[in-house]
Amino acid sequence: MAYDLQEQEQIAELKAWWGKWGKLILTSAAAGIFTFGGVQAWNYYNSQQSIGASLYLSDMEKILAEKNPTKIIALADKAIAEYPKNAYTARVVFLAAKAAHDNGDVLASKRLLMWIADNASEDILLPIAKLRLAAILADEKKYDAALDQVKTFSDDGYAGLFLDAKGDILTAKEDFPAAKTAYKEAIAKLGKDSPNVRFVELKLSALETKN
Amino acid sequence: MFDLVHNNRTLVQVALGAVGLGLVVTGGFTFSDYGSEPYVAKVADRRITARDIAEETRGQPVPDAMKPMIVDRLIQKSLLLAEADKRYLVVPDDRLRDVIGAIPQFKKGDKFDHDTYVSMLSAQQMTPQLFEAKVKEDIRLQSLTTPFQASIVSKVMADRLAAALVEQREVSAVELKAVQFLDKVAVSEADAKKYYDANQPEFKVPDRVKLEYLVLSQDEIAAKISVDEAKVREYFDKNQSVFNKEESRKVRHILIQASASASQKDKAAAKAKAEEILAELKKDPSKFGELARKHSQDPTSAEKGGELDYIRRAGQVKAFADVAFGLTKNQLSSVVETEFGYHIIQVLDIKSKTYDEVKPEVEKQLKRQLAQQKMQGLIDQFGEVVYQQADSLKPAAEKIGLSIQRSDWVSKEQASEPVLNNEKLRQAVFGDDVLLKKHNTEAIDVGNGVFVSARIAEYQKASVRPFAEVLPTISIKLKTLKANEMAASEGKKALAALQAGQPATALNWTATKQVSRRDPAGLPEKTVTELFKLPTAKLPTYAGFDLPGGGYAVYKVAKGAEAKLDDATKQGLLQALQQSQSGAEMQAYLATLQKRYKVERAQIKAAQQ
Repeated sequence: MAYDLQEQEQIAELKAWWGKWGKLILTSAAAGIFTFGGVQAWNYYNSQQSIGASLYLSDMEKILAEKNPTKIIALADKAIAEYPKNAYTARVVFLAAKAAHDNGDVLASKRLLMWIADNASEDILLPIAKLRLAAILADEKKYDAALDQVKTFSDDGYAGLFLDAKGDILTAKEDFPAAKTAYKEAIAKLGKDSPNVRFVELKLSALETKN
Repeated sequence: MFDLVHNNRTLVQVALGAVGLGLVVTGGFTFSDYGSEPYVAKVADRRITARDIAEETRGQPVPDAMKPMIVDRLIQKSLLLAEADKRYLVVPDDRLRDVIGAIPQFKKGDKFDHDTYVSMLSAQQMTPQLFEAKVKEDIRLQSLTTPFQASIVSKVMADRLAAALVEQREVSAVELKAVQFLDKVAVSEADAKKYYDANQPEFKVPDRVKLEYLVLSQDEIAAKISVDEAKVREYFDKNQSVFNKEESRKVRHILIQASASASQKDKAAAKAKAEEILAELKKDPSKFGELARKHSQDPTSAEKGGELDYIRRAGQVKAFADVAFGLTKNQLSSVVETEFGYHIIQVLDIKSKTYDEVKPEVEKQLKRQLAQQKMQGLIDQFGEVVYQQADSLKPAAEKIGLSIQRSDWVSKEQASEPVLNNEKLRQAVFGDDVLLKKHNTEAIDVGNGVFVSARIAEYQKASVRPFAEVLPTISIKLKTLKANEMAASEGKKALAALQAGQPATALNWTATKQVSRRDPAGLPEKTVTELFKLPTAKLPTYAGFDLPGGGYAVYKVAKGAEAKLDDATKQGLLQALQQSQSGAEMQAYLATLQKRYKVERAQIKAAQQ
């Protein structure tokens, strides 16, 4: 079949266009396929990791009642070594930090919380680790280190809690005027629905007669 | 703490309770494509629909005012689930098995019992698949929120707070109650008139009417109908399928998927495949299980040879149910099309109710049906008579056999009689035709098969209650105000004298009490807070506050007895602080999630209509 002139022209145009863009189109299509495959593989990898790491959480829940800090901390360390990036691991470590603290092993508790602050892939849990570190440091009378933990907060959701913690540290430090200011700001940020607000009000009222 | 995180017991109740109301439409299938359903909110890709609200409230009707709260809760749950997805918090099958195996309701003796499990679920019209999905969801929520079970708070701060809670002051008071001053104050009629003139809206009475009305109610007609036993039996036999909606059937099926939106070609291919399998089955029905495992695209049932356990009609897609509940035992269906694709269905067992069990319901239903038939004629008649003879309700009352009733006051906004408290009716009553021309209203459908026609018996224009009528009320109100003022001014005088160190005479002090923040010893909590703010450098000191019920009190605050701070108090407070900290952290976490995911709310009002 013969092409007429117009058709031949179109074919020539098409060929030129393909010559110019064809390679790019093919490579990006290939890249697309790879990316898609990559995403699938990534999802698969993470799910497999989670299945392994979830065992640590169920094991941790089982041994918590034994109140054996050595065993608890060892289990958390094992999870950290095997699945450092998995969300289940962060949960195991939070539980271990709490158990260590309640059993008087403040050092281990701090170490575990700091691991979360430095390593956990969930930035959204960072403020919680910091709040807990601040409480522990304040009880150790390391006021400046404690204040450092709650100095900056980017997320408005946590602002009230950070100010509350700041008030606690300043009270312990006996800087009462600054503590009062922090509590007042905390009450404003927490809002009426917060379960904490009554306690913050009580803390503030207990400072009224102090200067 | 946070009530999203159920423990397993409540989980079972929630799951079983919700589904017991037949809200679960997916039944035995494990698809959840509600894509086209209107949603009240959307969180990331998750839609929250009216169905979710119904499930959350276990099918109980809730006032509109509460709906936004429920939607908020569902949004929070969706946010947590979206985050759990993002963090790959998958639940391995072993874990699921452990959790369900530990639920006491499913145990026989101390071991998990599969039959108990299936029958308990099926009694609530729930399938194991669906229940397992719910439990999985719950485990994911619990895992995600684990960090909030482990709050750490400062012990030093907890001890300090405990000390503040038990710290004591010795308090006595002079209470000047408003009542004591009532007979010392006088309010003149001129004062009352002044108040009356200045506060007219307080004494307004809206337009109101008393009505004569007739009620034609289907339920009442039904109650008057009597039916004989033979008729009931006949009705039952004819309507087996209706009364046996309680019937449950063990069913197996083979599904070849083809969604409603699939192309004609794909649908035809799926249908052809289903026909092919059916042909093979007809040759050898014993191969059902084997073929289901091989071909069925309902993954959860396929591995069990297509078996769905006992299902009820209410829980199923209609096209599926019509066939599954029409087949006789062991009969093979032809190829059935539903929104999921093409099914071949076989019924393995039927559990149905006997006539005696459902007789009361059958009788009620039959009477209702007869009443309905009768009702249509009556409504027409009723409407015609009240319209044709619009100057009285009597003709209609006589013709249909109703009695004329009289109402209490009815305003444009409300009526105290429930049948009259209908907006359409109230509008008609206050319309020109009824109010001015004194005609009957038409027969108005006020809902629930009830029709009402009303006419005005008495009309009172909007008015302001006359001064004479409200004078006593105003007098009491003004006297109380004045007595309050007098109590406060007397109290303040006494306070000033005390603070200046002048000898206080003729003051009636109450006995001294030890007051702490934890134990206010009968004082208003707000007052205690204020009393503890008073400087303690120089005691005793004096202060005065308004009393909650009216009046004023002067307080003398002296050094309190040394308070004992025991370990139980300290420990209790520490725990309370940890709990509230956990709750507050969770709130902050949710607030942060809310910013990270796209949350879309449909107009709730529109969704309800």
